[in-house]
Amino acid sequence: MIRPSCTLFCALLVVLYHLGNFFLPLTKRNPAEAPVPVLPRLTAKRDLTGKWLPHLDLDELNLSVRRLRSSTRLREIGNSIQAWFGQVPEWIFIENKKWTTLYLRSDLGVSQGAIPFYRQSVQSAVQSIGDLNAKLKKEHWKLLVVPVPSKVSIRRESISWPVLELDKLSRHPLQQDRADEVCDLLFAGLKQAGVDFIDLRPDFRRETDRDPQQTAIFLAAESHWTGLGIQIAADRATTRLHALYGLEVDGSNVKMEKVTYYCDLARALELSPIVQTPLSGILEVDDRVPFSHKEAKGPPRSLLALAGTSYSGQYSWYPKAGFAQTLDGMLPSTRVLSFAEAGHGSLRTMMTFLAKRSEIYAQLASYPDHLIRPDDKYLIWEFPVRDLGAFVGTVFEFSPENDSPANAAYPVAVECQNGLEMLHGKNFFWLNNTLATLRFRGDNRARLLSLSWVTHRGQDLPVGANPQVEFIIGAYTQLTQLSEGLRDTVTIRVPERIEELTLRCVNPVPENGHHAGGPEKRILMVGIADLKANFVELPSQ
Amino acid sequence: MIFTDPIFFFYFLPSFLIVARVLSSRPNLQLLLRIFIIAATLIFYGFQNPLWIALFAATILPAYLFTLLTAKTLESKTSTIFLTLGIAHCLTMLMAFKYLNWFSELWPPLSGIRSGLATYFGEKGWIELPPGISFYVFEAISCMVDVFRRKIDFPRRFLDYANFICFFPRFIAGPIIRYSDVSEQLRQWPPMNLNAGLTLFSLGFSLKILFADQFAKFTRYAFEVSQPDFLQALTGSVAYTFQIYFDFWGYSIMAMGLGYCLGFRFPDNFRMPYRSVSITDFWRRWHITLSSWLRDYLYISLGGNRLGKLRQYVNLLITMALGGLWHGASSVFVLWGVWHGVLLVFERIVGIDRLSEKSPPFTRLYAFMLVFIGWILFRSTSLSQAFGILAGLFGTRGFMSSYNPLLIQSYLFSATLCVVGLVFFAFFEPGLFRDGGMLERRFAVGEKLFIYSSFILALIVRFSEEGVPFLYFQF
Repeated sequence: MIRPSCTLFCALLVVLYHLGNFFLPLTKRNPAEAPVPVLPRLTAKRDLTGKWLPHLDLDELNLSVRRLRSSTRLREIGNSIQAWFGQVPEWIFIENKKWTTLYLRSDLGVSQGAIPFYRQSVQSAVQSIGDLNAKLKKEHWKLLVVPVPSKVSIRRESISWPVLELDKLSRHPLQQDRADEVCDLLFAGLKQAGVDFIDLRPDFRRETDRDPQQTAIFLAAESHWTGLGIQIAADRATTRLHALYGLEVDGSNVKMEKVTYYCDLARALELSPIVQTPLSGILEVDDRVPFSHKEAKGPPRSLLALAGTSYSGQYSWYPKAGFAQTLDGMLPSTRVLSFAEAGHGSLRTMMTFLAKRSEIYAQLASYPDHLIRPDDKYLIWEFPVRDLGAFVGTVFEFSPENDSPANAAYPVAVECQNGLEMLHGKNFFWLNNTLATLRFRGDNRARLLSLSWVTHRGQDLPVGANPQVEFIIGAYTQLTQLSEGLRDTVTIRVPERIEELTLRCVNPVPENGHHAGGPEKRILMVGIADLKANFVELPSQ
Repeated sequence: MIFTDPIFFFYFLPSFLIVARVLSSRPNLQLLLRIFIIAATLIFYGFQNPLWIALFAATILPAYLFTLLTAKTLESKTSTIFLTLGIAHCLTMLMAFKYLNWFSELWPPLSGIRSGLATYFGEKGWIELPPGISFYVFEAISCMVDVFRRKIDFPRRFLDYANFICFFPRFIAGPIIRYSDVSEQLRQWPPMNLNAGLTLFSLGFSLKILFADQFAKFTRYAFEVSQPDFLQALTGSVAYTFQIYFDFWGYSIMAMGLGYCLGFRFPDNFRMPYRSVSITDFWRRWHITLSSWLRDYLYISLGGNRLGKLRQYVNLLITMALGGLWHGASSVFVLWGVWHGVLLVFERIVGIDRLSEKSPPFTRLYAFMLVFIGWILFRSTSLSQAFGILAGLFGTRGFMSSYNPLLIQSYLFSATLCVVGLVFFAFFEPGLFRDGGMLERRFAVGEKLFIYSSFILALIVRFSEEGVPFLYFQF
């Protein structure tokens, strides 16, 4: 009889774990070649001249281990077991326990109505936005505020009231949704403060009432807009800009196309494909999304900046989709700059916009006089109503010289080719075998350039042999492994006098593979998330 | 690095055990093995902040020097001076890194020193407690005092002393061992016992992940609600009572198991504490190595029971209050210690024998309820919070006037594991001590297979959750 030996058992587990990191199959959601060894994470920071920059980032190290194939499989199985028991993340709740529609619990805050907290939040928001509007006007910006109503408030008829989910520890039943009280207060305040806004509720409700069984405006498993929601919001915003300022609008440039979407929860709660859970059916959806087919007909005559949250970022990983691209498509003679960023709340992108104004002005100044007049500058600010609490105590820094000081880390890219967020309403570069060039502000000091990127591989897009990112600075070339799925970082030492960096993807897909622009929209995206330069004091000669 | 970290059990531990196994195969490699264990411990410890290694050295090297000087001057009165200096040095390090945040709030002029230390050992001006400092400082003090009391031969080889202190399986959170516990084993280095050690490690890991971390999810009912009703207070405080037990017991078993892998036998730290028949009995079963340390080096040093009844009671109160303070720089910890001190005094006055005459279910309930109340104090952030929870338990806010079952519904898997944990506690815990201590326990084939299965499930759960740090890492 074989006696069980714990040594053998543990040795077997460890061996299987490490073998699994090499041989376990990749999944649709995690198609990239996950990094196998841990040690490279310890030495990943190497500059262009091959000089090691000793660095051990524990968070990065832990993330690396999380991304390994065996770790991923174990996590997926664990998540699936928990989901099978009906255990879901605390930040969502399920409509009538039917597992067909999920809501954000944070939506329920604003459903309490005009309680003192939201009264104060609205007051703060109105004051902040009013002040900001007045200051922006002095620089000839025309602000349009787009508050996004909560999914609960749009679909309230389909929910069984009262709901208990407001606080999972204590019983605070919500008898009904009263989010309209907050919206009405906000809009009344904005009106009084002379701020232009659009109220999306009537259009969203009308569309939802048309077919209550379908989520229509919001995705089933998350609170973001569907393609239809994006289209309605863009339509309402451009119509308003046309009505107020006569901005040229042409909806024919935007066409709805079918895409497959893995909802946020699928990324947050990776489930094993081999275990069926109640969530399995709603995490992957087919949606029809507006794509811009705008073709530049002459130089732009006006400029629209978009500060927004994940609602604006939704679908922007497709080359010509998302709220910004839809706006861009509908405004034929307007250039759209998007500062939208997911996951950082309502205020950060506005702060980013404010900090980059001088860059925008510098860029505008380089154009011939007749292209964009100082008066033709518009700013759309999208934020969800549930986030109103963030305005309490917020003061917006506002001065033309509000860039970071020269000796601190600050964004260096002022101009890029081949699609940069500033130019095409994207947060991302596209590096599908095409070169992207970053130009820096001139400075005679050496810099340490930190590039953080995330990659996203379209569904079924095969992985090329040894995909890498290539950096070319002057005579130097550096190749870095393209690891996908999560944020990756490289630090490059840029010598003084160098003002240009070129980068591209090498072998992101097999030679015969599809990539961006293909009919099925199968894409590889490399998004530069943080681009910072630290100046390095050189030793005196 | 912590024991439940994938980096620990898939990278550090296998590499360590393979090298240790190779080095232990030949007696002439023993020196290398000893050095290797110290090096591995320092890597294990300094993984998060390499400066902690420097702090450890700055604490332990002078402690060794003072122990050496105490041993050399045992025949003269100078030894008392060296002993005092050694203890003062150790306690100063402990005060500086564990209590300075608290002291500087009470006396602001200290905030300058605090900010200075926080530059290297903390962030935002506040010192972050270096893990393990409470444990290795106590071990260094115990060695020093035992040398002074001539209970042990001084470890003349520094390597013996270093191997005693610097041993990663119990470095961060104990058990607190004495030099006498391992001196013989250090002299005659024991053979590795991987099978039994890893079985214990797997068992401890399962207790931590499958029970302690699941109970942790429900402590919020009591401790994150401003005015809990009866059901909220009960659910939350019972959850914490079992979280802290399975967490620390699980950790201790893992530490014992890892020590046993290398052949070292550490004393049991727990012996079914929630089956105690009195508070006195509880302290013989809960965190045994700490309570015996407090008894031997604090209570007895204060005079113990040699100076009359009244003095004995005062000594008990002081010992338990300081024992509470050892857990952290907070008044609630001191009050928790005082609570236990008062109960111990009460039992001395009433007579423990009279309590033992009662039927075991009654005495067990008596001890459990008092310990349970103590944990409410221990976990609360303030006295008012503790009283709020107690008020809830006494039903002053209704039975379930605001209780919301949704948290349990949202964590049905965890709730199921908690029920399994309670069943394990009720029916299987005594079986683990059937053969005496945990190290004596011989597991049958079926039990081993059950432990392996639990370990795999725990591994899966660990990967799918963020992980709850061991509670005793913060002490």
